[in-house]
Amino acid sequence: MILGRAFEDMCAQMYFRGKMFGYVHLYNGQEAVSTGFIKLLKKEDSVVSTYRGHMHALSKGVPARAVMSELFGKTTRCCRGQGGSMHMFSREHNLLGGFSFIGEGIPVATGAAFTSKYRREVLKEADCDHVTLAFFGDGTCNNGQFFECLNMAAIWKLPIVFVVQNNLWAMAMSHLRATSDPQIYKKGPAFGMLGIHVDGMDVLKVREVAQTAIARARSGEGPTLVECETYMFREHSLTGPEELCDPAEKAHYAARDPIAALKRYLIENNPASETELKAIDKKIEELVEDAVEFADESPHPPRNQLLENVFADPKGFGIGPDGRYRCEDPKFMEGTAQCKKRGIERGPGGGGETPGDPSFGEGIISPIFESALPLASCQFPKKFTKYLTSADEAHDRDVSIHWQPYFSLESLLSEEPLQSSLDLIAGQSSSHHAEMEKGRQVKELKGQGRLP
Amino acid sequence: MAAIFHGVGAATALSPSPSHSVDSKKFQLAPSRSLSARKGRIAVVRSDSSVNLSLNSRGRKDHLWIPNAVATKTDDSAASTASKSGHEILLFEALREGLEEEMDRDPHVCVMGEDVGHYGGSYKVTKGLAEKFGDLRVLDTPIAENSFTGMGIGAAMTGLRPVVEGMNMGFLLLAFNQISNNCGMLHYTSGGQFTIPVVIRGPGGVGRQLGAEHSQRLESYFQSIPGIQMVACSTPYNAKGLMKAAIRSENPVILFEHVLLYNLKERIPDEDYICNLEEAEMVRPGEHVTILTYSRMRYHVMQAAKTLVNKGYDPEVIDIRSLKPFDLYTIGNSVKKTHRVLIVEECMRTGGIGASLTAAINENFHDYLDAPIVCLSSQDVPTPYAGTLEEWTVVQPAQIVTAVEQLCQ
Repeated sequence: MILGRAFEDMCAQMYFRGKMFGYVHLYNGQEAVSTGFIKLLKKEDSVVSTYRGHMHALSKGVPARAVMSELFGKTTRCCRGQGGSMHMFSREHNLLGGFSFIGEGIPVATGAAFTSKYRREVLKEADCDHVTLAFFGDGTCNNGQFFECLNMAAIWKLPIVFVVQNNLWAMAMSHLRATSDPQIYKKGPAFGMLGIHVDGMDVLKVREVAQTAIARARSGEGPTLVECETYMFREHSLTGPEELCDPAEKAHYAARDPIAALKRYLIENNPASETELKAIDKKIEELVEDAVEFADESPHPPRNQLLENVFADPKGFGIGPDGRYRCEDPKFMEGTAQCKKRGIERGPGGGGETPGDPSFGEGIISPIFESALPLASCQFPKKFTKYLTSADEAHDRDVSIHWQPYFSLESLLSEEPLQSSLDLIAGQSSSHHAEMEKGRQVKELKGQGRLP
Repeated sequence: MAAIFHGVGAATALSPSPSHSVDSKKFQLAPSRSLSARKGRIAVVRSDSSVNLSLNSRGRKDHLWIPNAVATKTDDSAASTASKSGHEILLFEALREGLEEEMDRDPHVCVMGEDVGHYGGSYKVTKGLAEKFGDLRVLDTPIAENSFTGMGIGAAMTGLRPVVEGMNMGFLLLAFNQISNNCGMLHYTSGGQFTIPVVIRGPGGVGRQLGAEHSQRLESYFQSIPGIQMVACSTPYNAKGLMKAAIRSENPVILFEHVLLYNLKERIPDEDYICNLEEAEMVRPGEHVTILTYSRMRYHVMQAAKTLVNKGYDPEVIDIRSLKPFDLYTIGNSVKKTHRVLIVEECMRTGGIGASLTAAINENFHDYLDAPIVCLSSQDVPTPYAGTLEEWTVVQPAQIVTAVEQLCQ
């Protein structure tokens, strides 16, 4: 739990330092649910989570280094930088994701449970009693996939436990406003399975309930629906700090912080002393620092990783005009396939003329754009390539040359007027558009504290 | 680098009068044979490029392939005198045979869908399989497309090879979430850790007055999803071959069948064979114009081809089979030969497979075209119920003949 809390706090820090982007959802406050359940699992059991999945990954055993470097978008694990915060996967630890649409993971979890039953009954692997846990929130409990899967899991008695992390808020929608009967655990018996409600801020109570539910699943008695009443100490996601919840509600749950509660319990009942707990705290701090260092030092994914893993069997890219499979063309797979002046050879690589060329815009180059530039090849003006290919952390974003230009921090601080691609097309030398865009980005970065 | 195609006999004329029951549409097709089969060797299993045999031979050690077999026009008539081996079969039975053989071969292959088990499938493709393999391997699901498709994906991630049946392709619109987000993208977002060897299949296309919602062509909606392959079968031979290849493939594959083609009859080989998922099929070689088509429109095209041949034209007909990715090699060679392209498809005009194919050909083979590509597609209307209106939404042979005549002027 401490690891989870420390990790999530570090995530927030790193996010605001610009090391990670996009949507990041933190798990602070709900650690008891994740720890209470996942620590009872075997390695072969599967866990399916949602976009708020860092903690589930850590609990299941994915190393903190791998998770942090995934968040930084680096190529070293767990998804080689291709998944990001919301898509944590680990085959080794049977973490089946990481899904950004809510409810999307529940059928996948049902499928994993189905495989477990299939293995036991069809493939006759008699000792296969793998259990699957599906974690999701209160908002998901109003989604069709939730009900459909409760039904299917019950009719086939699948070894699955549905764990609802009811934190009363689905982003800004209060659970009470969205749900006709807010007591979610009652929906279990409606489908013929056991429904349990538990205080999700107390890890020991969660663990007790988890033991029952997991044992039920393992013995083949069927699925269970567990509703954990919990709360998020942070906002829904790091991109949207606005909250609609009442400060009194927040204070009420803050007083029931699972980590503090467990600490008190351990000290009062003597299984551990203050110093031992402090030592754990220190160890975790070091672990998280090490994870950040590792992630920082890890390399960014190289260009040739772009097309890897689109298909398990890369023959799926098809047969090119020359009769060979596209995947046999190393330039295609690197995304740097030849771009002729006339008739761009299609494959997503529409880039420069030689491999390793710092050109940009594979597949985005349109013939119109090409002809507007007074250049012989698909290269862009030197000014642009500097912005687009710099390894500066500020450029870890995708840039679409058809839309607003993205200026480096350096250029924003300079005084010289900049040209946008659109103005180049239109043949203008200075640009109203570029200046407007520059103004907007300066404002945004100042707001984030990245500019003085 | 010779292209290799196995010859497929031309379809005999379609009965022009719309009959009301699908059963009465029985087509006799000349058997599919290659040159080598005529010599009495074991039947061709699939066409194969001569380059990089190592790549193609992966996982296909059971099969023989003939490295150089080119279909010629004389193949049609001569092929009918070919060896008596093989058996006559209807298309839905060919699909079932393919599925059954794969389920026998690999115990991880399972089927999930509505009414596939006890009922045997709404088009009887899974008839008898539940009795043979059990209720868990041929799973009757409740009516929850999104969830059972997701379940199939979860099962695929954890080691099974499910074949998910949509009772009608249109119902898979409900599963679009799972197909796009999980089926297509999961292999990528997990950094290659999980494969999704799922096959999603079902009948689609315009039937006999089935109404708008049961007559949808989903290939146009799915084609942008990265990470999936789409194939469309049109004969019993390629139905069985594509079904087997799809099941054996590690990629998620969507196999489009057509409601009106289930009762086509053809003689197919007894031996184990698969059809390459990424290749197109040369139906009728020719010189004047390339006609690209797939699924049911193949038969409209072949009917038009008869008329065209009588009028002195020589159309080359290619069944593209692989809707995603396109087989640019076969198509390209054809374009380079004939310099004129006509695409005949059942998709809607806007954003259909024909639209993508037009773009792809224009990008890659623009210099070889003597005329703009003509694309005949269905009208952009919800398919009406009335028989006459329905006939006018899809492309008819007469329109194809007119288009070719105009193109070849």
